[in-house]
Amino acid sequence: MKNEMIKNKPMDRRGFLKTSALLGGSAACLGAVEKVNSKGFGREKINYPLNDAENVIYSVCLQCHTDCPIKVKIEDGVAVKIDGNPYSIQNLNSPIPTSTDIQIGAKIDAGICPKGQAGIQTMYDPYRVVKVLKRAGKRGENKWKVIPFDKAITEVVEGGKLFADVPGEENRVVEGMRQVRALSDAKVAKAMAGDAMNVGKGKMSLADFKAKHAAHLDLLINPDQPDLGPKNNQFLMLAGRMEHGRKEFAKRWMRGSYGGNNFMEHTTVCEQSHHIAYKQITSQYLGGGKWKPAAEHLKPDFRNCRFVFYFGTGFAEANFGPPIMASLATNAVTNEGCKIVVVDPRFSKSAAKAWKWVPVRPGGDAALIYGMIRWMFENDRIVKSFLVNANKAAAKKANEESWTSATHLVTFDKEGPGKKLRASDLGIGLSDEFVVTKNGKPVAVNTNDKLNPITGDLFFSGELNGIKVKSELMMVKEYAMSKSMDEWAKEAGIDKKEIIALVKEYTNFEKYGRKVGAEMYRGPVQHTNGYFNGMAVIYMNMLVGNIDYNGGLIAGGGHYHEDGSKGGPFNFKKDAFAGKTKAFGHKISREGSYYENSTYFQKNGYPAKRPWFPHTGNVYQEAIPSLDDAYPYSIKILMTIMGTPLLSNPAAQMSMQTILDLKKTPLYIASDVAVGETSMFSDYIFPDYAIWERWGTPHTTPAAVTKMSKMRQPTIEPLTETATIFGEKQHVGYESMLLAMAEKMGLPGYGDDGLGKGMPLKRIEDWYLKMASNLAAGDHKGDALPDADAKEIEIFKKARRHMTSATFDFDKWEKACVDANGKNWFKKTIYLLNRGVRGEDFINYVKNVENSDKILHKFGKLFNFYSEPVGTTRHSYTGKRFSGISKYSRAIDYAGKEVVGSSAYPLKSITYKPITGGQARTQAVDYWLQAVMPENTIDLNAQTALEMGFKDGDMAKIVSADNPDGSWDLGPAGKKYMIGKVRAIEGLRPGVLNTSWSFGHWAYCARDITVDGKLIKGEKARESGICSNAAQAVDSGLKNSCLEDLVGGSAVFYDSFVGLVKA
Amino acid sequence: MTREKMGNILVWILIIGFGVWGFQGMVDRFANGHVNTAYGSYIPWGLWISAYIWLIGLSAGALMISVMTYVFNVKAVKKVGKMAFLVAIATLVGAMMSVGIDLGHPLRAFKLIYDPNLSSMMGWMAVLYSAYFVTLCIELYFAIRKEQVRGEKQKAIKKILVVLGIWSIPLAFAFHGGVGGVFANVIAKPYWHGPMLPVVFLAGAFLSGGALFCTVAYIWRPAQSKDEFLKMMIFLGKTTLALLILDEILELSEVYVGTFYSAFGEGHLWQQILFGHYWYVFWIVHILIGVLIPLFLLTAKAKSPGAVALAGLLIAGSFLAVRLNIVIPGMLDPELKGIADAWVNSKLTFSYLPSVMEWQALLFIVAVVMAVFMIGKKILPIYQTAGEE
Amino acid sequence: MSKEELSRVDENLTLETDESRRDFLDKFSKGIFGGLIAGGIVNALAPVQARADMDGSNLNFAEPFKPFDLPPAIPGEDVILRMMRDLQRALKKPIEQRHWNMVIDLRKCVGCDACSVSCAAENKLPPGVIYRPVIQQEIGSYPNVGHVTLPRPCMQCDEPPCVPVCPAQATWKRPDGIVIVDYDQCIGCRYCLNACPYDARTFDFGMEYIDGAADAPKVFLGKEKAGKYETEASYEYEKEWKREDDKSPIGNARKCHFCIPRIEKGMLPECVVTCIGRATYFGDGSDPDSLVAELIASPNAFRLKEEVGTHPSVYYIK
Ligand SMILES: Nc1nc2c(c(=O)[nH]1)N[C@H]1C(S)=C(S)[C@@H](COP(=O)(O)OP(=O)(O)OC[C@H]3O[C@@H](n4cnc5c(=O)[nH]c(N)nc54)[C@H](O)[C@@H]3O)O[C@H]1N2
Ligand SMILES: Nc1nc2c(c(=O)[nH]1)N[C@H]1C(S)=C(S)[C@@H](COP(=O)(O)OP(=O)(O)OC[C@H]3O[C@@H](n4cnc5c(=O)[nH]c(N)nc54)[C@H](O)[C@@H]3O)O[C@H]1N2
Ligand code: SF4
Ligand code: SF4
Ligand code: SF4
Ligand code: SF4
Ligand code: SF4
Ligand SMILES: [Mo]
Repeated sequence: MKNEMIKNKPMDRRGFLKTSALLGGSAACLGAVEKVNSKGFGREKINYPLNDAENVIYSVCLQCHTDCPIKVKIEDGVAVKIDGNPYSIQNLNSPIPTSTDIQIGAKIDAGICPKGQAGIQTMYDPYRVVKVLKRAGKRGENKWKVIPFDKAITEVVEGGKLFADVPGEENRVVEGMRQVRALSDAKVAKAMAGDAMNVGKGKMSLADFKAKHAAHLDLLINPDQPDLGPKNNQFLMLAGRMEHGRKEFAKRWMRGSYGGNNFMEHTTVCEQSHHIAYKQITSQYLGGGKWKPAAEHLKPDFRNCRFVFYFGTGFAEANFGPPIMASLATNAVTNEGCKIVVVDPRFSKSAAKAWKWVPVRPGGDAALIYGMIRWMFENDRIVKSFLVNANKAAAKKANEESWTSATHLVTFDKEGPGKKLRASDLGIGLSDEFVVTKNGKPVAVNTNDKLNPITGDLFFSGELNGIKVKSELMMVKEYAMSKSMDEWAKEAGIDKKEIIALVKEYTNFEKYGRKVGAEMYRGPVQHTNGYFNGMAVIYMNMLVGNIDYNGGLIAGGGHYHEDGSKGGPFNFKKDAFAGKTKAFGHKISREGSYYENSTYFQKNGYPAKRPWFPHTGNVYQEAIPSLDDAYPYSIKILMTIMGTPLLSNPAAQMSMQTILDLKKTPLYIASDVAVGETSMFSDYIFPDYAIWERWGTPHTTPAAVTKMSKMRQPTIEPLTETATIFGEKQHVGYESMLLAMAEKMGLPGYGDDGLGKGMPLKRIEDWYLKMASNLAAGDHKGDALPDADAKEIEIFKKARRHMTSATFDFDKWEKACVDANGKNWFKKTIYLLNRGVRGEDFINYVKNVENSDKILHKFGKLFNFYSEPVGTTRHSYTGKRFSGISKYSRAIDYAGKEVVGSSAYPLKSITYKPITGGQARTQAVDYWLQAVMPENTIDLNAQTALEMGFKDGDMAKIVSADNPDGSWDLGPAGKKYMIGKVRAIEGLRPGVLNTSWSFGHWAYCARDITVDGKLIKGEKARESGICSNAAQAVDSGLKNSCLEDLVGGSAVFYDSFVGLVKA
Repeated sequence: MTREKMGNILVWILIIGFGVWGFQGMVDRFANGHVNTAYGSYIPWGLWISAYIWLIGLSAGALMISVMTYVFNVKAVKKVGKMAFLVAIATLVGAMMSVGIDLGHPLRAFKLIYDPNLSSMMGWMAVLYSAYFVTLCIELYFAIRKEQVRGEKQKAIKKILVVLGIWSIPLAFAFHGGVGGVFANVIAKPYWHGPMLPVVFLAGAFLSGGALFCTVAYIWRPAQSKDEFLKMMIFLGKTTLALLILDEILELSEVYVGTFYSAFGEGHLWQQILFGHYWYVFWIVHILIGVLIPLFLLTAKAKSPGAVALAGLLIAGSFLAVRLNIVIPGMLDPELKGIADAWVNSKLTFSYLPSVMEWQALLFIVAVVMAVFMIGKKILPIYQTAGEE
Repeated sequence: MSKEELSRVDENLTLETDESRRDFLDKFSKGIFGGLIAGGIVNALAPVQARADMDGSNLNFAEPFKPFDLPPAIPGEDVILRMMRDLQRALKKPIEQRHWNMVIDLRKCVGCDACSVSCAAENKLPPGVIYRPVIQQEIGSYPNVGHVTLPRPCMQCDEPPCVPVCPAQATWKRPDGIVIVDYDQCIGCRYCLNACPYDARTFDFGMEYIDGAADAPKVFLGKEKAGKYETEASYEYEKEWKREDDKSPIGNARKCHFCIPRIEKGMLPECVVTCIGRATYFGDGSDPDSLVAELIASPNAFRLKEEVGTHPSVYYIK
């Protein structure tokens, strides 16, 4: 039977009757026909309310940190469906113009990943904390009581015998936030700050300092070490990856109002070294020895790329992020003949689409790259015409946008390379000019010079005026040539022939032109040598001159400025409210501080007890171990929000005891949506708004080629309790908690004139709607969005009909949009909120790509092969200088000891993010995602499994030299063993053990919990799988924390050796 | 105590026992729907559907005895014809209950009677069962009536019974072969799909029904002479033996075709049945209890009514295992390999072992079947014979 | 693509001999007994369950489709917008003149399961009910490894084995190619589940995801509040369904319906719009200008299990 019979000639009624008649006039059958007719399928009005803008509120997902714009569809006040925002380039490859009618926008759904879809189940987690929980048993015992919000705020602010009802703590007096905020006088702070740091730098004597500030010495953590700052620094706020908008709010509160310096995000357990590699390579010279990073994240133009390397990442599972990258990559591969190479010990879903999968030895990326670079130098396959340009003018002349420091000279002293050569050193120019050689003759070069093009010799090594110098590219070349291809291949764990095949294709300029690129994310950088590996990946781009080309390395379209710094009506950068304090002192993690600029260095010299990180920030994994060591000082109050350091850090089990220790962590406050793995050990859990109930202005991934800003906003009435703060009834959440604390302590910058005369900061919208107004106003004159018309305003209101005035109060919202000049930005803001994003018209991109080989939004800046700031910084243990160029090294710890395996612990342990796993969180609560992946596994290469005596499906326990028991010791909560199912697969490098992230929970109500004396049953399924972080190596030099990258600050996830035992 | 009394007591004990324990299962079924069943979407049919074809087979088999009585006038079973109708009705009721609780919307099933889809074998079943049920009731009525009238009237009734009996032959073939067809028509399930299955179903039905009747007739024997009784039992025993042999030949050929060249890739299913997880269902329950022991009893002890009755009971009871081994393995193979790992849920697996609640509900149904029989036997003049002219 | 071309594709991909053999066996076994042969004949003549309203003439929708203006087409625009344009064109035709097809490009599918989850969310699917699982498998051996993914919606077979088996006439094929389940008619016998050669139908057991959670509303959000999204209306076929008591769709067979309520509003199916690999395409295969028609004609297009003779409306590209 052919199908077109059905398709084109559906059986007509006569035909049907004929066949029925065959049955011998079966009356029953005719009866059926009658009935069917009366059933009349398809006659009803097709009701589908989810396509009406009145039922849609746009927001931004955060199930992972890709922050995709979404539209949340609402019925009866319940969020029932989440889809991608069609106005957004992260969801639609050609976003619809921002000017598109919102009723049309409502009918166009765009892409998001499964986690984004499952957001509903995170929002409506039955175990979501909606009231303040206070510890009612020992820390970690998981016994709680519900207490009123106001009482909780009073307790944490005022301190006292807060846990008198807990056995053993009857007499423990807890210092409250008010007491810890010893330094509350902005003038005093301002006077002390500079002097204190100068004591550290040795520019001021301690005696002088003490004499000058005698009246206030008691406000300092340690009067003998004023560079540690005031006691206020003993309040530590660990903030996961807090997002823009919220981050500015929190930092303002912490630094400007509370006067503390310890606000920290999680980025070093994330991928910080990748950022730092980009930051150093894109640092622009400001003069006076100062450098300023211009970008922390660039990406290949996946749309137009014809050959892409993915180092330790992909486009299909994680990264930033699947919804925007996957379709661009799959389209390029299937329709445009793009070739991709995935360098990853694990066969990923991206590798499944690759021309080649390169199962590199974990940590071997730089070796692999140097093998390729060596071949490029040997075979002259670098783009010299790009590399010779020494300044902006030269780039311009050569029809390039960006340029590199390939030709710049670096000086060498007896310690090796140091500062870059300055023209003034040779007497041929200024001290802010670098030097290149032209046919061996030195020429001064101002890299930012737009007028005088200067090109230089790529390879120069020699002495100039008695100073030993080398060109930066020479340094790279010499290093590449320092090992043979065979040696590089051996370190990379990849066949030499394969390496040559890869680089040959990559540098097939005749075929691919500049439409090639090398992408990376966590894989190469979360190593002890991560920063240098990251640089090597960027070199791969620089050497082929692909920067700013369509199909090359791009910076992305960027975003509008919600901070008002580009001319918006509310300039938060210049938010100089009365009483604003200056926070000072080294941070607990010693990030942003040179060891040599500390009183510790003056006292102890090298080695420092713990590393100092002048070139990085957010060194998350250092926070708790540092307070454990009370180095550089102890902490009185810990606050965590949106992060779970006791689970997500490698070797996190070492921190468990620190948190359980009431002396080391006297007060621990958490802001959370659940009783999380870390917040379970806290004293108070303040409920937070879920992602879809809160505000934010996250930024856009560089994978987006056009400019876009997005606005997270409440889509439903928050499910948390309400409280009255500054006289305003509002839901309890992170920001309102900070507002309440501010009110209680009388912190400056809040209340009626909090944001300036007549501009209150009493409700969270007072803050966020101003940011929204800035976005709506745009970055320059004429950039403002149109006003929402009456129809749109009506829809705006209707879409929020399910909200009470605690969340949505039209008049108050409007008031929040009135600037200091009385100008009302509300209508423009509504226009923005009605779309969730504002984006540049995509036609700009289309036109550009038709007419130019360069990308629409150009970076157009200097790229450094050699980082002068890093090259002149010393390792705080050895006191030796770091390398300024990328170098390969095997994993070593703080004390310089190589990380090696043994017969009991032979397997290199790695980890990855499945597409359904969003951070630590989604797999515990999202039932749909559990259906896709109910547990994770211990993956081994089938051959390795065989050799070790494991079969697919065997239960096994991960153990390590530092954790031979294979457990998380949770104190009163018992132990959680790293026991899971072995999966013997082909898609993994032999000798490697791989586990995914997002599983292995012990909290999130996976287990039973007691509240108000009642036992509440948990959900067993939430506990499934394992998290292997407790098996990661403990640094032998630090003893209580994981291995670290000392430049980039990253925590190390892929250098540890583990063993596997039957369980 | 007479055999009959003992039988009555035993059966009532079973009715009460099964009824009480089984009731829980029924309550669960109606309170929680199908949540606590072990079948799911990839193995959509389980114990209840197997029990349904088991019971409907018993019914068809019992009908066969009645046909022998009223159409072919087989002397040996002359006096148990009415009881055969009663057994057929009781098991039919059980079968309908079994399929009824298996449905998602049992109440809607009634509309199938007047509005079935005739291109669905199951649609036909609805029609045929209705027809069958009506036929059975009429037949029973006339069979009873026959004993209460004399002369022309009796003759007329006898004729009616012959006509009805003849009508019920194709009916039985149709509905039970059709049950086979329900499975055999499923192209998606190679293990079921094929022209043999309806035949196998029929043979099985006659075997199990006949076998059951051996037991029933033995316990609740009508008023007959010892000799008559012996003859009846020997006849029933022989018939059962013949059907058993036929059935085993059919089964052997199924196994042979199924395993030899792994036709349609179902060889591994036979592997599973024979040597898999639930090997004992085949080897112990079916082959040992349902075939070998009865075979021994029916040959070596063919002349002992007790042995024949026991053999019958073993065959009829264990036939549920045969039904399970037809229904379940057919569904064990994913249509698309790996589909159960694609979306993980307890209702989306390819393994099946009936849950306690399923067993409970089934036992409740068995209790109802027995109760219908016992009560029917009590209130209807089953043994009444008026003699013939 | 023209009809001729369509049938050419069919022929290329169909293993005729095997199919006809099976067809024969099928019909034979059906027809073997008595009156049932008549049923067999019905099936033989009308392989697809024919219903009187199948010709579409009496499918007069109360609300005809109201086209809306999509932003102007631009070069290199997202295929989602192109397909929405295709959709609008199709909806202007009478129902019997369109044939909905789905094409899944396996080269582009990244196995992300967004489609499965999106569909589950859109249709408020309870645990155990799934319309579009994505089957994943590793193939090859180190280091020559592959990973294949296979999203499996309902094939909307042109000769759907699930339809004739339904005793209750609860499932049939619409003139536009969609095989639907009338929840109000379905008795929940699950025959169609067994009959589908793609395991595309699942049974609604009446469960809820929230079932296993504790209800502690004074402390946590609590089960009752948390479970609300599960009991909000789902839009399937032309109605809204609320999950309450034992009412339909609880106790029914369920399957992918190509998102009828969405497509009839000019919106693409959920699994199409959310697909991050842009691997899923949807449209009117009988419109030669549509993207799906273009893709169906690709030399590497194929359909699943051609040998069972189902003639799926879903094509794959390898
Ligand atoms: N699904 C999902 N997506 C996410 C997130 C999420 O939680 N879930 N989170 C977001 C965040 S915060 C981040 S930081 C990004 C992370 O994005 P990615 O970096 O892409 O994600 P991971 O899975 O952590 O990637 C690590 C990869 O590196 C490989 N690898 C391990 N060791 C080595 C090595 O030595 N060399 C090389 N070349 N590869 C190695 C691992 O096998 C793994 O595939 O993802 C973002 N997107
Ligand atoms: N083994 C392994 N470990 C990893 C990774 C890996 O790939 N493998 N990836 C690493 C990477 S890239 C990252 S970015 C980190 C992430 O690590 P973290 O930043 O520590 O992690 P999250 O998973 O975002 O932490 C979320 C925690 O915050 C709380 N929380 C959840 N939602 C909310 C909310 O809405 N508001 C508030 N206030 N709190 C909330 C919960 O307690 C939850 O446990 O993990 C790192 N750790
Ligand atoms: S990629 Fe991340 S942010 Fe985007 S939809 Fe998925 S979970 Fe949400
Ligand atoms: S489950 Fe419903 S749709 Fe399927 S065959 Fe039975 S009645 Fe028909
Ligand atoms: S795929 Fe299965 S459910 Fe869908 S139409 Fe075909 S046979 Fe029916
Ligand atoms: S077409 Fe609709 S119903 Fe079918 S799988 Fe896709 S989303 Fe689900
Ligand atoms: S959403 Fe698209 S890419 Fe993801 S699994 Fe489904 S078909 Fe494949
Ligand atoms: Mo991260």
